[in-house]
Amino acid sequence: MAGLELLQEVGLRIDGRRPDELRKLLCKLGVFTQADGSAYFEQGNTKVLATVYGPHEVRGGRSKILQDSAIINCQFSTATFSQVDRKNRPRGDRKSVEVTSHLKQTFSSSVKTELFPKTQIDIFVEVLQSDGGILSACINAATLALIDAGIPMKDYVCACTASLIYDIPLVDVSHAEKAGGGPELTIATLPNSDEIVYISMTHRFHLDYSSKVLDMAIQGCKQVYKLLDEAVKLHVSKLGISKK
Amino acid sequence: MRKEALSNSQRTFTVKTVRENKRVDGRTSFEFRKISIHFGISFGSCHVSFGYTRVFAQVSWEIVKPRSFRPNEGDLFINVELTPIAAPHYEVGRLGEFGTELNRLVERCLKESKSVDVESLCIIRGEMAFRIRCDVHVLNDDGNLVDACCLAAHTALCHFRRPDFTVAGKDVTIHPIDEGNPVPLCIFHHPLAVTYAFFNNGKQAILDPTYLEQAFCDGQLVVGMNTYKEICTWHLGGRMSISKAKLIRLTDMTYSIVTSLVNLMEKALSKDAEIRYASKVLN
Repeated sequence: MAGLELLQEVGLRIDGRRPDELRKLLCKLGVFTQADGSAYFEQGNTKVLATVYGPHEVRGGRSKILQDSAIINCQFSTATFSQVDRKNRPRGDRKSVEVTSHLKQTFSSSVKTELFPKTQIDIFVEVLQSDGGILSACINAATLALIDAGIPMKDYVCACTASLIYDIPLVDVSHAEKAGGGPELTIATLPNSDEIVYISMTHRFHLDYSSKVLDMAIQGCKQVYKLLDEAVKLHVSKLGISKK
Repeated sequence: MRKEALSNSQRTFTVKTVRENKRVDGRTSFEFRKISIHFGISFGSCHVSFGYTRVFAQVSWEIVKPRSFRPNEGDLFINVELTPIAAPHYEVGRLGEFGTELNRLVERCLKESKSVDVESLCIIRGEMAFRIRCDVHVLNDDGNLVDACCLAAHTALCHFRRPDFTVAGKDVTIHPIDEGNPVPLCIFHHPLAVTYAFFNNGKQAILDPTYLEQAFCDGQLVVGMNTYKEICTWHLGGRMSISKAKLIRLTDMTYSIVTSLVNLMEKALSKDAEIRYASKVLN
């Protein structure tokens, strides 16, 4: 991709966005009938499906039962056709196991698990198309699915990525921008209190820029929250309407 | 074997002690345990201990074909082994969630921050390159494995010497280590990780948690940083949330801690170099 700069002089990125613009978001709740909660989430070209089952009886042995709270069980898998090169192993490789444990950690701290002791809540996430920001799309999709399932949470969990080019922070990085070699920061926040529940970073950037990049990512999460909230309210308003 | 069950009285005692700004082993909130770094006979073998936590790292090399999408780069592979030597509840072969997490954190801090120059490991573009493999074995787990593994792996990489080579057209001669001058790896910066454990609903943070403190904490924050004040990794684990202000404050504090750790590492390396040089001169 010779000649395409990550940030041009006029202040536009490769796909024509400004540094503080998110990609187009699309949310759909209740896409499956079998699951207790389900959601389909698109962020630009990244497409993710999430389903939630539970709270139900703990499967896999009585040793795993927690006496005072529910267990969150996550499974993350990427479709073999989701990336440019065919991905032979949908789950079980190191990066997938890492994403699974991060999802589990994020939702263990935001779902009100103390309300459902000795039970299990399953969150399954499937990536259909991957174009950067996978983990943040998965977290957003899982939040919508949990809301659709009616599981109480402390707040919406909204996630967003941010990067830094020269000294300008960018929000919502796509795969092309990430491949350019810049740092990528993924955070998930509880938007009403701005508390960070998940943070992860690749490559490196200077301490002096950390505040700027964090601010940009937190702003991105707030924007995602607005859109998620609108989608949930729209879905709920249609629930009671009979189909003609 | 299953993890040893920890009693409620241990939990209340540890948590209460931290709440009173003390620690069970008598340290202050932001004090490290005794850190010692020792080297083995061969280049690239390093043993690090943080109190009772002991970790051993060994670096080795081999010649491989570079990857197709990076033909002018060698490869750095870091692997952390968690076996029943470290604690009886670890299984041989199966990494499990904690082991994968540990591996990825060390990889992110050392490899993805581009601390080692992989381009200098290439011999012939597209055909031959060095693959540097760093194996880290945890010998005893008494908490804070991330910091210990990062320090051990990085110190071993700094200590390591690879064989020199000469290229004449298409012929490559690798000089054995005892014949030619072995070459150190090109290290751009020293990234090290620092772990903070949180108690009291995330209000109190302590540095260098022991095994019990880690088991009873609300959550942990790992900050990877180098001496140029660049953040190499950020990782939040456990069931807690953190505000932006607190995150920035702890990250600022990490700089002075990392500088002192790097000083310790450099002192150990120079002491070892003195001993090696002295024995060579005498021989």
